[in-house]
This record gives sequence, C-alpha cells and structure tokens, in this order.
Amino acid sequence: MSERDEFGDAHLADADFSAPDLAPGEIGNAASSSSGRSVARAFLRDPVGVAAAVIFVLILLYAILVPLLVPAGAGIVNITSRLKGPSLFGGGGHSLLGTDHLGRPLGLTVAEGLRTSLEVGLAVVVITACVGWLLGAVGAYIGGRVDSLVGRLMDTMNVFPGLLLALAIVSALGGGELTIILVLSIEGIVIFGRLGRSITLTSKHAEYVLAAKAFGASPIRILLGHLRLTSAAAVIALALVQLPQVVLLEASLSYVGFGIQPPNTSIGLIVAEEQDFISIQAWPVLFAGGCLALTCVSLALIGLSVRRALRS
Amino acid sequence: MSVVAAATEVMRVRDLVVEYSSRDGPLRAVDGASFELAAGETLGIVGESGSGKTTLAMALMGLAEASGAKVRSGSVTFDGVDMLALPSRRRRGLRGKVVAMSFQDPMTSFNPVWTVGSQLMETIRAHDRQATRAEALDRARNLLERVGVPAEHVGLLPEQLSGGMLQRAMIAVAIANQPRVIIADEPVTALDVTVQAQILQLFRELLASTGAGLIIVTHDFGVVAELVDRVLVMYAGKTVELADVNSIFHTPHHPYTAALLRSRPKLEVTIGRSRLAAIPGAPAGPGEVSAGCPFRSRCQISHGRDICATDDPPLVEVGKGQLSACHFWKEVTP
Ligand SMILES: Nc1ncnc2c1ncn2[C@@H]1O[C@H](COP(=O)(O)OP(=O)(O)OP(=O)(O)O)[C@@H](O)[C@H]1O
Ligand SMILES: [Mg+2]
Repeated sequence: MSERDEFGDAHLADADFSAPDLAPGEIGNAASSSSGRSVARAFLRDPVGVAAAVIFVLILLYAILVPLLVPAGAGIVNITSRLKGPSLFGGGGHSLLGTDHLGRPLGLTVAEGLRTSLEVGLAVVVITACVGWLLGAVGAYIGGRVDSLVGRLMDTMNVFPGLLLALAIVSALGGGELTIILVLSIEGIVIFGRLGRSITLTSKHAEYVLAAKAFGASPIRILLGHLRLTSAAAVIALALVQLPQVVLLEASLSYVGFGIQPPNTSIGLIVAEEQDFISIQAWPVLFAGGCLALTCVSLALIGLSVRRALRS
Repeated sequence: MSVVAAATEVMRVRDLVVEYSSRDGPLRAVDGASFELAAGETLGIVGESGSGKTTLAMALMGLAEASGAKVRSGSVTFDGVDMLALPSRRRRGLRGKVVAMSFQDPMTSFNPVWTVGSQLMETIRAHDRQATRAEALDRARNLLERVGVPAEHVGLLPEQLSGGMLQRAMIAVAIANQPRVIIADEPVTALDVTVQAQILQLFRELLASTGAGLIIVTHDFGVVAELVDRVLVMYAGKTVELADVNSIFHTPHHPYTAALLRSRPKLEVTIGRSRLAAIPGAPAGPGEVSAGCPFRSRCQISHGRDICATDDPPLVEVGKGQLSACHFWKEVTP
C-alpha cells in the first residue's frame, strides 16, 4: 500500500504542469470510479433531470417530426395571411401556431430553425469533444515537445475572443452551416483539449497503464483504450454543459446576422426577422425565443443532473 | 556454466543498477542484481518493505523508466538478447510475450471503468493482431476458466470481483501470451490464507503445464517454502544472499537472512503485529548507508567490528551455489 502512495506522489511531483489546467477533479475523478449503469440509476432518481430530459425529447421530436409530417407546400410564402396569431389559442388564423412575417406557418418555421440550431450544436460538441480530447490527450501522453506544441496551438486558438473571430471568419467565408460549425468549434477544442490533457497527465502514470505496458500494449492502444475510457465520463459531462452554450452562441451569431443565412433558418435568425414586426404581432418572437430558452434550460438542467449522478 | 544449464536458461540478469532521482541526489533502489533463471525454475525475491523488490521487478520488465526510475547499468537478457539495449518498440514486443508480470495490487492494476474481459482481450490482441474480437473473447473466457475465474465474469468491472478473483484475473493477464518468464509481485500478500493456498496451487499447476520460469516477489517465507527453488534475499537494494531454498532454511550464511527466518511468525505468535518486528532497528533505505555493510547497524554478529563499517562486503560464493555478502558469513547461525 505504502509503496503505491510513494508512486503516486512521486509522479505528481514529476509531472510538469507547465500550463494552468482545468482541474480534472470534480467531474473527472469521481466519474471514473462509477459504472454507466449506476450513473443512469442515479440520474433517474433526480426528478429535475428526468423532467428536463422529457422536455428536451419533446422539443427534439417537434424539431424532427414537424418538418417531415407537414405536407409539402405548407411552407410557401403567403402574403395574405402574415403575422396571424395561433389558431390554437383562438388567434383567428388558419395555422395552429400562427404565421410568420411572410405568412408561413410559424410551427414549421420554428421547427426548422430549431433543427438547424440543434444540428449545429450537436455537430460542434461532438467535433470539439473528439478533436479536443485527442489533441490534449496525445500531447499530455507523449509529453515534452509535442505537449508544448499542442499547448501553444491551444493558447493561440484561445487568444482571439470567440465572437470577434467568428465575425471575421463568417464575413470572409460567408455564413453556411459548415462555416458556423467550424467557427464555433475553435473555442470548444481548447476547452476539451484542456480536459483531455489534465486527465491524461494524472492517469498516464496510473498502475493500470503500467500494467498495460507490461503486457506489451502500444501507446496508441493505451490512449484509445484505457485513457479514452478513463476520460469518457468527464468528457460526456463537459459535452452536456457545452451543448446549450453552443446552441445559444449559434443563436446569437445568427441573430446579429453573422450566422445562418436565409433561405436557411435558425432560431436566432427567426427572432431577428420577426422582431421588426413586434409592435404588430409579438407572438412569433415570443414563441421562437421561448423554444430556444426551453431548449437551453432543459439541456443545462440535464447537464447538471448528469454531473451530479456521475459524482454520486 | 555447464552446457545443460545453458540450454535451459531463459533469463540472465547482470549487475543491474536502478536509481530513482530524488532531491538529495540519486537513490539507488537496486544495487547490482545478478542471477539467472532456468526454464521451470522458481526464484523467490525476499526482503523487507522498501528493499527494492518491486523496483527490480519493474526493471526486469524493461519498465524502470515508465515507473519513474532509471537503469544505470546492467543487462536483462532473454535468449541472448539484452532487453534493456533494445529500442522501445522491440522491447514492447518482448513484454507479455517473453516476460510477463502480475502486479502487486490487482485492485489498481485493472482500469476501474473497463471490464476485466475487455482488458484481457486487449492483452491477447497486443500480440496477436490477427485475432478477431470473437476469438479474443473466446480465449479470454478460456484463460479466466484456466485460472479459476468463472467465464461469465468477463463482463464484470474490477470492483465487482473479490480480491482473490482479481488476483487470478491478473495472473490470467500475465499468462495470456504464454510467456517464458512470469514475474509475480507479491501475488498472495493481500489475500487470506485459504485463497493464498489456492493461488499458490494455481502457480504450481501453471508452471508444470507451461514450463515457464517464475520470479516471485514476497516477504512471506511460507510462500518461499511452498513454491520456490532458489531465493534471492535483498536488503536496501543489495543482494545479500542467493541460494537454493534448502540452504536458505538450513544453512543461511547472511545474518539478515537468519534474522528474517527467526522473525517468521510462528503459529503461537499473535497476528496483526509486524512480521519483522523481531529484527532490531529500522530497515535501511536504499543509498542511506554510504560506506560499509548496509545491515551493520542491525546486525547481531558484527559486534561493531571495523571492517563492517568500512568495507561493503562483496557477494561471494560461500558454498555450493550459495552466495553471501557478509564478511563473517561463517559465524551466522540459523
Ligand atoms: N517512484 C519512486 N520515486 C522515488 N523513490 C521510490 C519510488 N518508488 C519506490 N521508491 C523507493 O525505492 C525503494 C524501493 O522501493 P520498492 O517499491 O522497490 O520496494 P519493495 O521492496 O517493493 O517494497 P514493498 O515490499 O513495500 O512492496 C524504497 O525505498 C522506495 O522509497
Ligand atoms: Mg513492492
């Protein structure tokens, strides 16, 4: 026992934490000791998390199903029935959720906008989690010059204020969905990179890594086997925290006109377009904004609840 | 060296020196280990806690650097190939395949978030890239059964297995690729007596069926008596005695060996107390003693003689196949 403690201490002292890093503590360490099933059980015991998950699934179904189920041609511009209130609440129009400023059914427009926003959010989080973790982990595992190279790369990526960089890239490349995903990924890669680095720095000296070396495992297998699994819980927890933030960031970009461009749409764009008519009809802004808020709040609550479950 | 011995020798260690770096300069945890191991032979490495047993075992695996130490000099040869002189990629090819190790603490030697079966499959596929997942799984189940773990346990996490089961799984990892030398670091220390007996029996069966050489690290002379052919006694990083098991028990030629034997717990001794409490004084750490014999302050036969304080006794042949590092080995009584 004592021998293991010496090992641990010695290696902590050995490891050169040259850059201040995100502590793996909180989520990282606790997470690695519990199995997936017990985390799921702890999550299901938390009513807030479950309610948030239900709400998010409903939003997801709405965003995916409505554009598929609405008959073709329902989304065409119809100037004669612009800005009608929702018939659902007796607003006088023909559309269940009212119409937008071009007379299209709002229920459909918002669903499409939500789908874009969620698509961008998920793509960004998946890309940043994979690329960022891999960069940080590889750097930390190899150490030395590779580590400082990765560190410098990340510092460079981090120098530019996110929004400013986004504006520059979008004005240079134009605002396609792929550009937005790229823009929003830059900051995330740094965040996940730091997490990957700090977890790898502490677990690369773990006895199970030494044991893996003792049976002849290659560095690649150790990274993609042991260290990937050791990081998984913390990366998932961070991804859940990142997702609503990315969705919100994309909405802000699109809102100020540097995000998704028409004819494509996103929630931020819808709010921007409809707010010109807010004195005539406030409903479209309220509905679109409400959907965005609900999405982000439910995602944030899921994230919190999963983190709590991982810690339990 | 006779022709016969040369034919069956599977491992040869020469003048191995391993150091840790510390604030007060290098810390010599292994100071000149030399021995050879024949196929099917069991070598026991005994010594108090901190005497450098694990450090030696790691160095024998070519893992000194990976565990924070440094090999200063010496060689570890398998089939005429010095592992320590190989580039890391070829060293990796020997690990697990030619020489494998089961670690001191199975609880920390398995990744807690990965199933035991997957980790065993990883071991198999480290040396057999051609093996499909299904084949590897099949072999993993067979290996588990071979060491007495129910094959259904492949899907369990380490925390779901008992200490004894995990130790067996650890042995399965070690034998997965039919190595010619197995190094077992304290394989039974943490286990209760019945499980200890089972694990020792398992080792006996494995050795009989595979013909592998075994290096077993222990501070339990019970284990030595049960399993071991030859014993290497370590003190403060130095080999103080190397002899076959009968000589060790009946004619020890180093006062430390004799003291260890005397401090063995007898049945009537209360358990729970340190087994080595009977040796007066605290064990010297590696490098703590600059000149002279490292054991002299606790030695019962030195009587403060000058040579013990000035000259570090060399390891010399004192009987047939028996080496001792004591100026006054003739005075040692069992
Ligand atoms: N990573 C390390 N850095 C510095 N010194 C170390 C390190 N690991 C071990 N040591 C020192 O090296 C010496 C030998 O340690 P080692 O673990 O090899 O002993 P051991 O014989 O295996 O002991 P035990 O019976 O407790 O397992 C000890 O004095 C220990 O303090
Ligand atoms: Mg040890």
